[in-house]
Amino acid sequence: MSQATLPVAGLDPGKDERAGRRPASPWRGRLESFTGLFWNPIVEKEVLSRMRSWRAPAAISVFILILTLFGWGAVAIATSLSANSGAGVTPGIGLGIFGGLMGTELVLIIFLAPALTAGAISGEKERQTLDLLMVTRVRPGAIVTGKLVSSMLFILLLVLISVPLLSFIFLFGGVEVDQVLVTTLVVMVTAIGLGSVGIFCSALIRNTIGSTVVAYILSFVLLVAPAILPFFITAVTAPQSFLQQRGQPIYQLGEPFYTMTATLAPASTNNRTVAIGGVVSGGTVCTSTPNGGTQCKSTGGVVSPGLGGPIAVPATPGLPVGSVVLQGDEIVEGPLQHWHAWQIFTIMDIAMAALLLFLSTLLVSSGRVARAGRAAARVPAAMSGPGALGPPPDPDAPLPPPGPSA
Amino acid sequence: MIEIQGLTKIYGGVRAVNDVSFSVGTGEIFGFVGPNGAGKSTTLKILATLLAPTSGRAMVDGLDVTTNVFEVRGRIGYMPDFFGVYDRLTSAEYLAFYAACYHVPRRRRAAITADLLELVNLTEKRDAQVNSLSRGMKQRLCLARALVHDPLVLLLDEPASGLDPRARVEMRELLKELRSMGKTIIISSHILPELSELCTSAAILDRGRVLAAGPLETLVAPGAGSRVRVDVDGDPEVALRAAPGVEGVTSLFPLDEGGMELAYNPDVTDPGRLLQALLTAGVRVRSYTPVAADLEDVFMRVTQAPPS
Repeated sequence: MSQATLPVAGLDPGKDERAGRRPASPWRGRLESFTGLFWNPIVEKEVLSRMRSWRAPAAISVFILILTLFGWGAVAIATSLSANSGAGVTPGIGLGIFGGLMGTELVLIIFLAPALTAGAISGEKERQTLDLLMVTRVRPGAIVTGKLVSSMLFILLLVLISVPLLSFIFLFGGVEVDQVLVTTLVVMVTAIGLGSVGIFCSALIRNTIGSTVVAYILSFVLLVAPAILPFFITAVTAPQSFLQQRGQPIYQLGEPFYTMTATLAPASTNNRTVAIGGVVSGGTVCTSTPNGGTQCKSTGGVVSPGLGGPIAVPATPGLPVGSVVLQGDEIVEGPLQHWHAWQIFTIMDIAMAALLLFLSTLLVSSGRVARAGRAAARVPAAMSGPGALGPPPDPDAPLPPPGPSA
Repeated sequence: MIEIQGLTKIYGGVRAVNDVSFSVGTGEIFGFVGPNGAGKSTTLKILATLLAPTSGRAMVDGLDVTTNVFEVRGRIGYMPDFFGVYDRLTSAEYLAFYAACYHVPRRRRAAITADLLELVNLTEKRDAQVNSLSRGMKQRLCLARALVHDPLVLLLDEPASGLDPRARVEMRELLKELRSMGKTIIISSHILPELSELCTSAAILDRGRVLAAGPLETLVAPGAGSRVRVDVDGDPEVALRAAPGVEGVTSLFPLDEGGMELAYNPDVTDPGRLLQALLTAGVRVRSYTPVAADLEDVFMRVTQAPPS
């Protein structure tokens, strides 16, 4: 075989590389393919072209503007409340403003994350570049994770940009550094989870609009279901114990608003009810009584009717299977005792993201081959170039078979 | 370099590719000819490791395309029948991106990008947005993209479709240059004249089946010389009336310029005897040229034959 060499200096990558030579050490090879999942040509290209579009600065501006408005509102409300109560500036003010700001940031990221990724794979299909990527040596898994990483880098940029805005909280005090770090982590982990939902939808659905719609619906279900499901389950299975039930199902910790609220709650608060939107922080404060029981009373801000008054909980009521009791953000009773809410949340969310990315990879690689085949048989035009580019190229649509044996 | 044996691809009950076998030697330009829907793109996609065949084998450089996927990808450059370009990337960045995807080391990418832009004559467009390029430029850029990893084999699906004549000529010159670099090239097309003068061998496909395959000489030989082009002096009408009566003439095509093309049965006559018979019949022959059969003739012949 004659060696094919272009008469130019840089153009022959060499036979070894052409043959897909692996690094000498197997561990180094594994490390490289692992890091290749998170930093690869796809990430570089996506970051480059994303930051060149007008959408990136527009999204950053809108993000900061909304966050500033909400921050300003939160400060105004908090200072007027404390002025009216005559107590001066209390430690609770800083925490309240911070909670409002982070809640706003979380809402914004929840709206942004699925939109950033929902066109990742379907956009490649629409531009007809997925085949071109698939014939390179980039693995399907790296295409999928590369798309997610590039979107997450943009969200990380937004989070970093919001740091100066958040830092003025320290003027008021009352917020611990670890609370800042944990709530920021919750925002990022939420973005990773919902970003993966977007990637999955874009691998599953051919067009970007459909994929975006499904991604938002799925995200909504994922955010709301853990919060309201326990109420439905209790109401159906054990309506008589609706008010007395202790703790909450552990899957409720997969809800980012819940986890964020728990992180910012004082350690003595047992969040019995779920705060949707991070605004209503319903809770009951429990204290030990001399006779060994526990006395709980509501601290207000109640979500469900009927939880308004003090509730006397029996001395040692049974905790339903799979339920935990939180104090602050720490699990004090039930499985995974002493774990923190954000840890459970992070594990659940990352596990879901990993599963969705794995499924997306399957869809992009082997599944895509089968789907592309069926699509070609059904709609020949789907395989050819966009009609605007002149005469349609040979779509190679299979003709009806000439005969059973032919 | 390329071996295909009994390749079959069934799409939802339809045999897009049906028991296709052929082989392509190193350094050949192999024409893949057939009408739309003959299974050309499907076969190329299987060779490009994008589609799994239903049955049969396809080998590139001795490697099975279904089991040595990543090794095969390093050896082939695939150019589909659409452009596939990204927004907001310049030509140079576009090529560098694909070079990175083929694991070309970072330090070499700039040199490769510059060389390839030079090769496809787009150096002055290196900082132009890919979307702003003309169709012919995009096509050349896509050819450059298929070359970023210096593949042994180029799979080109309809590289000339939708190009104006000038861009077509440029594309053909490029392919000749690539062949002189030792690349094996498979090129599919339904436009025959451009393949006739480019290819060294060809396969003719229709409805998923190979009707004929082999080096161009052996493909063309069976019918070679069975047509002649005749230019006449005087009234062409006289010649057109006289010619059909000549022994051995099977059909006649009048040409716009006043002459005609005659097809004859080579078992009955030969060009010399035919000329003599024409003169005897009163046709005033000014010039007389046997027409070399090309791929188009072969194609017409094999596709008109009743399916076996």
